[in-house]
Amino acid sequence: MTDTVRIPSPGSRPARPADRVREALERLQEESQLSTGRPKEKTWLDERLGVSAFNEKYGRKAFPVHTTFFFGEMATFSFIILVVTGIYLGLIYVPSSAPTQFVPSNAPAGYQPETLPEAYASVRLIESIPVANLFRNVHHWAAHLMIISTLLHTIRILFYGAYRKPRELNWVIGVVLLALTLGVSFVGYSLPYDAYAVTATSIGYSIARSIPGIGDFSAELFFGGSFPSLGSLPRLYTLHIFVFPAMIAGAMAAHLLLVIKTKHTQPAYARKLAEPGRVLGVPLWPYQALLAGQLFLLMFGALFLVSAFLPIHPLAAYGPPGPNTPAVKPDWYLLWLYGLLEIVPSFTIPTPIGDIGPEFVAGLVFPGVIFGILTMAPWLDRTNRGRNLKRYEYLEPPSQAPFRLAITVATLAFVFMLCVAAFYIDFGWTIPQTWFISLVVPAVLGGLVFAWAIWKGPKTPADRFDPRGEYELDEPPYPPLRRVPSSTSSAAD
Amino acid sequence: MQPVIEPIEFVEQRRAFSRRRALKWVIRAAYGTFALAFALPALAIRTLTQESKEIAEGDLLVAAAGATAGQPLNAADIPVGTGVQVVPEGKADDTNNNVVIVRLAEGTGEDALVAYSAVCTHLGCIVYADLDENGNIRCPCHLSQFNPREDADVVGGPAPRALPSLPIAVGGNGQITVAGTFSAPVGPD
Repeated sequence: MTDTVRIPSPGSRPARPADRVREALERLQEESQLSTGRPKEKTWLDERLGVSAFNEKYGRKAFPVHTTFFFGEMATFSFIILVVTGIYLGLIYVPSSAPTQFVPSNAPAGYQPETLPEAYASVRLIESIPVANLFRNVHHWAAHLMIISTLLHTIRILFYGAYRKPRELNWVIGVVLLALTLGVSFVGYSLPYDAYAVTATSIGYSIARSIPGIGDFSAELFFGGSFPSLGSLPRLYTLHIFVFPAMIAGAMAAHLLLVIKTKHTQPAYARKLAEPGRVLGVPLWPYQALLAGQLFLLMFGALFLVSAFLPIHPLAAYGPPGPNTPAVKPDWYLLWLYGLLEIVPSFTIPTPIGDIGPEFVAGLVFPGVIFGILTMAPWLDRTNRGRNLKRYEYLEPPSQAPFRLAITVATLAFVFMLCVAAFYIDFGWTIPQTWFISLVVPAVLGGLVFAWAIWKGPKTPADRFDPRGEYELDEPPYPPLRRVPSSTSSAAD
Repeated sequence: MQPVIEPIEFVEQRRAFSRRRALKWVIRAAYGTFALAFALPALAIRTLTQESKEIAEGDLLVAAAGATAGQPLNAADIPVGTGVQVVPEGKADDTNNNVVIVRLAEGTGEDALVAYSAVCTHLGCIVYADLDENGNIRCPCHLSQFNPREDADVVGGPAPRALPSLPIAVGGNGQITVAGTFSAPVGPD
């Protein structure tokens, strides 16, 4: 069975917004060549590669129409823009920290050359070429956009409980993608090799070294010896332009394939409109493709517009690396870790393989716990247990699951408060005060959201919206293998 | 018409160690060895060593930053209650050689001028040579504070231990030289 757009016959209901959606879908169905079943003329490609069979299978994938269903597309398009702009930057960039004599191309005669690291000088060159500088800004802004859309995508799925059966595996791949996105961004910090880059990457290097036992080995492996040293940039560069992007591309492909296999979670209105056992949405080709293409062009235009007027992280802001450490804070998406590093108290726990210090706990253990809980969310959720568990095919209204909502909001609030804690000295707070505020605000917010959900949510079991689907896994389109009964019982599998 | 796939029956006895199972394990082991062989070079490529010059007794300390960078400083020019960042002459390439000298009192004795490693023991940032409003050495990265009057002990923030101290000597012309080695390993553990 492939996904199809099926419209139930209109009843005698009063006109509602949902009816307008149904009418629009009816029109789409009439216009769509794919769903008419009309035999089409074979094209040149079709005669050789049978592409229409491929289109029949994947082109008819139904995409639900919902305002929150575009974050994944946004992350994918940001990634594409990052790869394209990254290729341009890579044509000029030199991954070396060796000193070089730099003279700007527009320097007057008798200009005293500056001694700069080669990487810094090559980024100066990028900044001096207008189109390359524009691409550098787009690259930086698109990285922010990719992280925020990945984050919103994750939060949307958490709020609606859409990580449950049958989508657990895809949730895990999604969490891995989030971690990889943060990783590739952090590695990218080092490449301009200005004072900011060297400071931020030194902190990353020291955190890697703080792992008991294998710290030195892993830090030397990822940073090419100690940081900063001549071996560091080639290795960080390879990680940034090849290893991480390749992993992201692979995980993204798996993520999309699993979405096709398990289908999107259906918005609640689909239950009223589609027949039981059918999914509702616009087909990938041509309607979703048109919508997504429009989104891509909008994002592309907006990114170039923003980049043209708002330069981000120009080299002049921090200058080349010097003997002093500038007072730097990381970008917003790593600020929570920075805040925790600031407010965690000093301690040392001796272990046989090395001491455990605050930098290990705040820099690696805490994010590890957060990502571990995220990964395990489908197995921690009590509604996702049991032997005869049905498939969750509809978005569950968040008010129907007060506990899940409260936990999610409280965790997000705690992470946000850690970002606020990064500025504790500017607020004039002491460290105990900062801890108190960082813990009380999430607890209060979680409690408030819990109370809201109880007040707003269903009062009786009959009022509850059942997010479980009516259909089970499709029957395979081919007959099952006939098995010859085995003589030994243990060989049956 | 549906093609009927005739199954081929392999009688596999699970408990017995059959030839088939042994072969499967041999193939798995071969792939595992291949993967391991690919991962092993990581041991060799993990470091690209670079010759670094360690701080040694007798090194002349020169200003690390500012307009006078690279020039020797006069101990008498450091006002009481302030600090300066210095490096051993010709050894500025290694950030671990950065030192902070703080003047606590007039004179040239051990209680007057103190020198500490400028590398924060938390995550390796270079601490500010200028003392903060409480007279402490502060790291700009995660706000660790060290008291220069108490052997640079940690008085605030996440740093796990004090900044290592460095014995220094003041010559007749006011030039400062290194007179020993750091009291503890420099930088984060």
